[in-house]
Amino acid sequence: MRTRTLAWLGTALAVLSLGLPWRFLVGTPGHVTSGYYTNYCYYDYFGTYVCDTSFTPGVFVPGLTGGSYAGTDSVARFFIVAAIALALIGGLYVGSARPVRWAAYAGVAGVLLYAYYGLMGGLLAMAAASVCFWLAARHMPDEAPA
Amino acid sequence: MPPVPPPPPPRAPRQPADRGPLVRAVLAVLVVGLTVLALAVMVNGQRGYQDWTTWAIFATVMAAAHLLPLVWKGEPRRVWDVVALATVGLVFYWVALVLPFIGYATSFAQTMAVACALAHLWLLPGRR
Repeated sequence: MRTRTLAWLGTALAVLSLGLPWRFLVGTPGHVTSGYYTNYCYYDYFGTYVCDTSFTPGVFVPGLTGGSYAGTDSVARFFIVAAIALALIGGLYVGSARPVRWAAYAGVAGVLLYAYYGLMGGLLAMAAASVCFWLAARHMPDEAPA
Repeated sequence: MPPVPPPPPPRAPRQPADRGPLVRAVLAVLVVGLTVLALAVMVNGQRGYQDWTTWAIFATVMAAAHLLPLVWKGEPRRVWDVVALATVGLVFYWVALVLPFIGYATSFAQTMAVACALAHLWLLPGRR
């Protein structure tokens, strides 16, 4: 496959990864804490021991909304945009292998940052984009042609 | 027989007008206009200039730098460098603050502003 085609394919995959999920969070349901009674006891004017009891009701603790977070919502977007910029400017405009290789590294860094949370669509697309950038860089000159 | 008047001298072919400066000026104005619009309009109870004032001012200054070539007639390469730096700042603002809310109408306006900024940078003389 031609070098430019690979660079364009990598760019397209990187843009795609912006819209794909990078992380999934399991939702937690909300709950109400148990209330408690408070006794206030004292001797009244006639010497009788009296207790006043009050009840404090429990409060509602909201749960967390579960769901997946797309590339645009995650920190990975910095790595994705950096990779796209390096591939477009350095690779396709300047025509040098070094920026394209760095685009691959930026993509891999983003993937590694989120690999802990499991392999999701966004990670896979970005990993594929990084492979495309790396393959494109292999067939390009290290320095821009004069 | 009356003398035949000499033929009129051939007119020089009309030179096509250079629309480059006009296009660049329109793009520069669009960058500023769309950025200010995106930051001034309230969406979901939030307005850029009120809720993230410092970043909004930063974005406005970065966008306004695109007007520099209209007033600063310095060395083209130097002007280009300044505008390129401002574009990088505007793109960073877009990635950091606008991209997470890309579905908003104001985000669309800001995205168009960034696209115009990139196009302006591309068309500006002195490009590296």
